[in-house]
Amino acid sequence: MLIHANPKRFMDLSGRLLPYFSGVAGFLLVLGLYLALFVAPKDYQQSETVRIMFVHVPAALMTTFVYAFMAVASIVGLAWKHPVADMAAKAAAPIGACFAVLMLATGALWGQPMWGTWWVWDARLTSALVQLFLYIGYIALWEAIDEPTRAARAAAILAIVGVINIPIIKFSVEWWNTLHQPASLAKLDGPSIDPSFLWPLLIMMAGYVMFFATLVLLRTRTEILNRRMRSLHMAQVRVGEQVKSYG
Amino acid sequence: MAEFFSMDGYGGYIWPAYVLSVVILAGFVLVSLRSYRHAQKRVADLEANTSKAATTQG
Repeated sequence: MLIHANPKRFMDLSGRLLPYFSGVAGFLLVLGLYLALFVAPKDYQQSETVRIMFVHVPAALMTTFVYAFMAVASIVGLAWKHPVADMAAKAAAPIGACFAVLMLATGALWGQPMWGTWWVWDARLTSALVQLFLYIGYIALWEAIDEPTRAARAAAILAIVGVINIPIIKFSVEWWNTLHQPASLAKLDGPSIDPSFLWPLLIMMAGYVMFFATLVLLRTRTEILNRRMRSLHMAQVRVGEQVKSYG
Repeated sequence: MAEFFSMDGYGGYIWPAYVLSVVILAGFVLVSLRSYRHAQKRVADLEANTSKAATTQG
Protein backbone atom coordinates (compact mmCIF):
# COMPACT_ATOMS: atom_id res chain seq x y z
CA MET A 1 0.00 0.00 0.00
CA LEU A 2 2.81 2.36 0.88
CA ILE A 3 4.24 1.97 -2.61
CA HIS A 4 1.07 3.51 -4.00
CA ALA A 5 1.35 6.58 -1.81
CA ASN A 6 3.07 8.37 -4.67
CA PRO A 7 0.35 10.47 -6.41
CA LYS A 8 1.58 9.66 -9.93
CA ARG A 9 1.64 5.93 -9.26
CA PHE A 10 -1.74 6.17 -7.57
CA MET A 11 -3.22 7.89 -10.64
CA ASP A 12 -1.88 5.13 -12.92
CA LEU A 13 -3.10 2.29 -10.75
CA SER A 14 -6.50 3.77 -9.86
CA GLY A 15 -7.13 4.64 -13.50
CA ARG A 16 -6.67 0.99 -14.40
CA LEU A 17 -8.75 -0.31 -11.47
CA LEU A 18 -11.73 2.05 -11.78
CA PRO A 19 -13.54 0.36 -14.70
CA TYR A 20 -13.38 -3.04 -12.97
CA PHE A 21 -14.40 -1.68 -9.57
CA SER A 22 -17.37 0.24 -10.93
CA GLY A 23 -18.45 -2.74 -13.06
CA VAL A 24 -18.36 -5.14 -10.12
CA ALA A 25 -20.14 -2.60 -7.87
CA GLY A 26 -22.91 -2.05 -10.44
CA PHE A 27 -23.36 -5.79 -11.00
CA LEU A 28 -23.53 -6.61 -7.28
CA LEU A 29 -25.94 -3.76 -6.50
CA VAL A 30 -28.35 -4.65 -9.32
CA LEU A 31 -28.23 -8.35 -8.38
CA GLY A 32 -28.61 -7.49 -4.69
CA LEU A 33 -31.63 -5.24 -5.31
CA TYR A 34 -33.25 -7.93 -7.44
CA LEU A 35 -32.74 -10.61 -4.77
CA ALA A 36 -33.84 -8.26 -1.98
CA LEU A 37 -37.08 -7.18 -3.65
CA PHE A 38 -38.13 -10.22 -5.69
CA VAL A 39 -36.44 -13.35 -4.36
CA ALA A 40 -36.09 -13.03 -0.57
CA PRO A 41 -39.20 -14.29 1.26
CA LYS A 42 -41.09 -12.28 3.85
CA ASP A 43 -40.25 -12.85 7.49
CA TYR A 44 -42.71 -14.77 9.69
CA GLN A 45 -42.53 -12.03 12.36
CA GLN A 46 -41.70 -8.87 10.43
CA SER A 47 -43.59 -9.68 7.20
CA GLU A 48 -42.34 -7.59 4.23
CA THR A 49 -40.62 -4.95 6.37
CA VAL A 50 -37.66 -7.32 6.66
CA ARG A 51 -36.75 -6.08 3.16
CA ILE A 52 -35.63 -2.81 4.73
CA MET A 53 -32.81 -4.84 6.27
CA PHE A 54 -31.17 -5.22 2.83
CA VAL A 55 -30.62 -1.46 2.55
CA HIS A 56 -30.30 -0.66 6.26
CA VAL A 57 -27.66 -3.17 7.39
CA PRO A 58 -25.20 -2.49 4.50
CA ALA A 59 -25.51 1.27 5.10
CA ALA A 60 -24.84 0.75 8.82
CA LEU A 61 -21.88 -1.54 8.08
CA MET A 62 -20.40 1.05 5.72
CA THR A 63 -20.93 3.88 8.21
CA THR A 64 -18.44 2.23 10.55
CA PHE A 65 -16.25 0.67 7.83
CA VAL A 66 -15.63 3.98 6.06
CA TYR A 67 -14.72 5.69 9.32
CA ALA A 68 -12.28 2.88 10.17
CA PHE A 69 -10.78 3.33 6.68
CA MET A 70 -10.39 7.07 7.32
CA ALA A 71 -8.73 6.41 10.68
CA VAL A 72 -6.22 3.98 9.15
CA ALA A 73 -5.50 6.37 6.26
CA SER A 74 -5.07 9.19 8.80
CA ILE A 75 -2.54 7.18 10.81
CA VAL A 76 -0.59 6.45 7.62
CA GLY A 77 -0.82 10.14 6.67
CA LEU A 78 0.36 11.32 10.07
CA ALA A 79 3.08 8.75 10.63
CA TRP A 80 4.58 8.49 7.14
CA LYS A 81 3.52 11.86 5.70
CA HIS A 82 1.99 10.25 2.64
CA PRO A 83 -0.12 12.86 0.84
CA VAL A 84 -2.29 10.24 -0.91
CA ALA A 85 -3.32 8.78 2.47
CA ASP A 86 -4.53 12.20 3.65
CA MET A 87 -6.38 12.77 0.40
CA ALA A 88 -7.99 9.30 0.56
CA ALA A 89 -9.27 9.99 4.09
CA LYS A 90 -10.66 13.35 2.96
CA ALA A 91 -12.22 11.74 -0.14
CA ALA A 92 -13.89 9.03 1.96
CA ALA A 93 -15.61 11.30 4.50
CA PRO A 94 -18.58 12.48 2.37
CA ILE A 95 -19.22 8.88 1.26
CA GLY A 96 -19.34 7.83 4.92
CA ALA A 97 -21.68 10.71 5.71
CA CYS A 98 -24.04 9.53 2.93
CA PHE A 99 -24.05 6.02 4.39
CA ALA A 100 -24.71 7.43 7.86
CA VAL A 101 -27.72 9.42 6.59
CA LEU A 102 -29.03 6.29 4.83
CA MET A 103 -28.50 4.17 7.95
CA LEU A 104 -30.50 6.62 10.08
CA ALA A 105 -33.26 7.18 7.50
CA THR A 106 -33.81 3.51 6.64
CA GLY A 107 -33.59 2.67 10.34
CA ALA A 108 -36.36 5.14 11.13
CA LEU A 109 -38.48 3.73 8.28
CA TRP A 110 -38.02 0.28 9.79
CA GLY A 111 -38.49 1.40 13.39
CA GLN A 112 -41.88 3.02 12.86
CA PRO A 113 -43.73 -0.13 11.69
CA MET A 114 -41.80 -2.59 13.92
CA TRP A 115 -41.21 -0.66 17.15
CA GLY A 116 -43.97 1.92 16.78
CA THR A 117 -41.49 4.80 16.75
CA TRP A 118 -39.20 6.51 14.23
CA TRP A 119 -36.58 7.27 16.84
CA VAL A 120 -35.59 6.55 20.44
CA TRP A 121 -32.62 7.94 22.33
CA ASP A 122 -31.23 4.51 23.12
CA ALA A 123 -27.51 3.76 23.10
CA ARG A 124 -27.39 2.26 19.59
CA LEU A 125 -29.34 4.98 17.84
CA THR A 126 -27.62 7.78 19.75
CA SER A 127 -24.10 6.47 19.04
CA ALA A 128 -25.09 6.05 15.36
CA LEU A 129 -26.20 9.69 15.26
CA VAL A 130 -22.90 10.71 16.90
CA GLN A 131 -21.15 8.93 14.00
CA LEU A 132 -22.92 11.20 11.50
CA PHE A 133 -21.82 14.24 13.53
CA LEU A 134 -18.23 12.94 13.49
CA TYR A 135 -18.33 12.82 9.69
CA ILE A 136 -19.78 16.33 9.51
CA GLY A 137 -17.19 17.63 11.98
CA TYR A 138 -14.37 16.00 10.00
CA ILE A 139 -15.56 17.55 6.71
CA ALA A 140 -16.03 20.95 8.39
CA LEU A 141 -12.52 20.81 9.83
CA TRP A 142 -11.00 20.29 6.37
CA GLU A 143 -13.04 23.23 5.08
CA ALA A 144 -12.10 25.46 8.00
CA ILE A 145 -8.30 25.29 7.57
CA ASP A 146 -6.86 26.73 4.36
CA GLU A 147 -3.38 25.28 4.45
CA PRO A 148 -3.67 21.62 3.27
CA THR A 149 -0.95 20.05 5.44
CA ARG A 150 -2.30 21.70 8.60
CA ALA A 151 -5.86 20.76 7.68
CA ALA A 152 -4.77 17.17 7.04
CA ARG A 153 -3.07 16.95 10.43
CA ALA A 154 -6.01 18.37 12.38
CA ALA A 155 -8.54 16.22 10.51
CA ALA A 156 -6.39 13.11 10.99
CA ILE A 157 -6.31 13.65 14.74
CA LEU A 158 -10.11 14.02 14.81
CA ALA A 159 -10.53 10.85 12.72
CA ILE A 160 -8.24 8.85 15.00
CA VAL A 161 -9.83 10.10 18.24
CA GLY A 162 -13.32 9.57 16.83
CA VAL A 163 -12.63 5.88 16.21
CA ILE A 164 -13.57 5.31 19.86
CA ASN A 165 -17.22 5.60 18.75
CA ILE A 166 -17.01 2.49 16.54
CA PRO A 167 -16.75 -0.09 19.39
CA ILE A 168 -19.39 1.95 21.23
CA ILE A 169 -21.80 1.52 18.29
CA LYS A 170 -20.87 -2.15 17.91
CA PHE A 171 -21.27 -3.13 21.56
CA SER A 172 -24.00 -0.65 22.51
CA VAL A 173 -26.61 -3.38 22.01
CA GLU A 174 -24.80 -5.59 24.54
CA TRP A 175 -23.64 -3.06 27.12
CA TRP A 176 -26.93 -1.20 27.41
CA ASN A 177 -30.58 -2.08 27.24
CA THR A 178 -31.54 -0.94 23.76
CA LEU A 179 -34.66 -1.10 21.65
CA HIS A 180 -32.38 -2.00 18.74
CA GLN A 181 -31.83 -5.75 18.39
CA PRO A 182 -28.39 -7.30 19.04
CA ALA A 183 -26.13 -8.56 16.23
CA SER A 184 -27.34 -11.36 13.95
CA LEU A 185 -24.35 -11.54 11.60
CA ALA A 186 -21.07 -10.80 13.33
CA LYS A 187 -21.36 -13.37 16.08
CA LEU A 188 -18.81 -15.88 17.36
CA ASP A 189 -21.13 -18.85 16.80
CA GLY A 190 -21.97 -17.83 13.22
CA PRO A 191 -24.83 -15.77 11.84
CA SER A 192 -28.34 -16.47 13.20
CA ILE A 193 -30.16 -15.59 10.01
CA ASP A 194 -31.79 -17.84 7.44
CA PRO A 195 -29.80 -18.36 4.19
CA SER A 196 -32.73 -16.99 2.15
CA PHE A 197 -32.09 -13.62 3.87
CA LEU A 198 -28.36 -14.03 4.36
CA TRP A 199 -27.42 -14.30 0.67
CA PRO A 200 -29.20 -11.20 -0.59
CA LEU A 201 -27.81 -9.34 2.43
CA LEU A 202 -24.22 -10.47 1.80
CA ILE A 203 -24.47 -9.52 -1.87
CA MET A 204 -25.83 -6.08 -0.99
CA MET A 205 -23.01 -5.64 1.55
CA ALA A 206 -20.42 -6.61 -1.06
CA GLY A 207 -22.08 -4.18 -3.48
CA TYR A 208 -21.86 -1.35 -0.93
CA VAL A 209 -18.19 -2.16 -0.24
CA MET A 210 -17.39 -2.05 -3.99
CA PHE A 211 -19.44 1.14 -4.34
CA PHE A 212 -17.25 2.70 -1.66
CA ALA A 213 -14.04 1.37 -3.27
CA THR A 214 -15.05 2.89 -6.62
CA LEU A 215 -16.07 6.24 -5.18
CA VAL A 216 -13.06 6.60 -2.91
CA LEU A 217 -10.72 5.98 -5.88
CA LEU A 218 -12.61 8.50 -8.02
CA ARG A 219 -12.72 11.14 -5.27
CA THR A 220 -9.05 10.65 -4.34
CA ARG A 221 -8.21 11.21 -8.02
CA THR A 222 -10.25 14.41 -7.88
CA GLU A 223 -8.29 15.52 -4.79
CA ILE A 224 -4.97 14.86 -6.55
CA LEU A 225 -6.13 16.79 -9.62
CA ASN A 226 -7.26 19.68 -7.42
CA ARG A 227 -3.84 19.84 -5.77
CA ARG A 228 -2.14 19.72 -9.14
CA MET A 229 -4.48 22.52 -10.24
CA ARG A 230 -3.38 24.66 -7.27
CA SER A 231 0.31 24.09 -7.88
CA LEU A 232 -0.02 24.79 -11.63
CA HIS A 233 -1.92 27.94 -10.80
CA MET A 234 0.79 29.07 -8.38
CA ALA A 235 3.48 28.30 -10.98
CA GLN A 236 1.64 30.40 -13.57
CA VAL A 237 1.30 33.29 -11.16
CA ARG A 238 5.07 33.11 -10.60
CA VAL A 239 5.80 32.91 -14.34
CA GLY A 240 3.47 35.87 -14.87
CA GLU A 241 5.40 37.90 -12.29
CA GLN A 242 8.73 36.99 -13.91
CA VAL A 243 7.46 37.99 -17.34
CA LYS A 244 6.32 41.30 -15.87
CA SER A 245 9.71 41.93 -14.23
CA TYR A 246 11.54 41.16 -17.52
CA GLY A 247 9.31 43.61 -19.35
CA MET B 1 -48.59 -6.00 -9.28
CA ALA B 2 -50.62 -3.91 -6.82
CA GLU B 3 -49.86 -6.58 -4.24
CA PHE B 4 -46.15 -6.24 -4.91
CA PHE B 5 -46.27 -2.48 -4.39
CA SER B 6 -48.44 -2.66 -1.28
CA MET B 7 -45.93 -5.06 0.39
CA ASP B 8 -48.53 -6.37 2.85
CA GLY B 9 -49.48 -2.81 3.71
CA TYR B 10 -45.88 -1.85 4.54
CA GLY B 11 -45.11 -0.33 1.12
CA GLY B 12 -45.21 3.13 2.66
CA TYR B 13 -42.09 2.26 4.68
CA ILE B 14 -40.30 -0.16 2.36
CA TRP B 15 -40.40 1.85 -0.87
CA PRO B 16 -39.15 5.11 0.65
CA ALA B 17 -36.23 3.16 2.18
CA TYR B 18 -35.25 1.79 -1.26
CA VAL B 19 -35.93 4.97 -3.22
CA LEU B 20 -33.94 7.04 -0.74
CA SER B 21 -31.01 4.60 -0.90
CA VAL B 22 -30.93 4.61 -4.70
CA VAL B 23 -31.42 8.39 -5.01
CA ILE B 24 -28.75 9.31 -2.43
CA LEU B 25 -26.15 6.84 -3.75
CA ALA B 26 -26.81 7.62 -7.44
CA GLY B 27 -26.88 11.36 -6.73
CA PHE B 28 -23.57 11.06 -4.91
CA VAL B 29 -22.02 9.29 -7.91
CA LEU B 30 -23.20 12.08 -10.22
CA VAL B 31 -21.85 14.85 -7.96
CA SER B 32 -18.50 13.04 -7.60
CA LEU B 33 -18.23 12.43 -11.35
CA ARG B 34 -18.99 16.06 -12.10
CA SER B 35 -16.32 17.42 -9.79
CA TYR B 36 -13.86 14.85 -11.21
CA ARG B 37 -14.52 15.96 -14.80
CA HIS B 38 -14.33 19.60 -13.75
CA ALA B 39 -10.93 19.06 -12.10
CA GLN B 40 -9.68 17.11 -15.14
CA LYS B 41 -10.63 19.95 -17.46
CA ARG B 42 -9.10 22.65 -15.25
CA VAL B 43 -5.80 20.77 -15.01
CA ALA B 44 -5.73 20.19 -18.78
CA ASP B 45 -6.38 23.91 -19.42
CA LEU B 46 -3.69 24.99 -16.97
CA GLU B 47 -1.18 22.53 -18.41
CA ALA B 48 -1.85 23.83 -21.91
CA ASN B 49 -1.35 27.39 -20.64
CA THR B 50 1.86 26.49 -18.83
CA SER B 51 3.46 24.93 -21.90
CA LYS B 52 2.38 27.94 -23.97
CA ALA B 53 3.89 30.29 -21.39
CA ALA B 54 7.09 28.23 -21.40
CA THR B 55 7.43 28.44 -25.20
CA THR B 56 6.76 32.18 -25.38
CA GLN B 57 9.18 32.82 -22.56
CA GLY B 58 11.87 30.36 -23.70
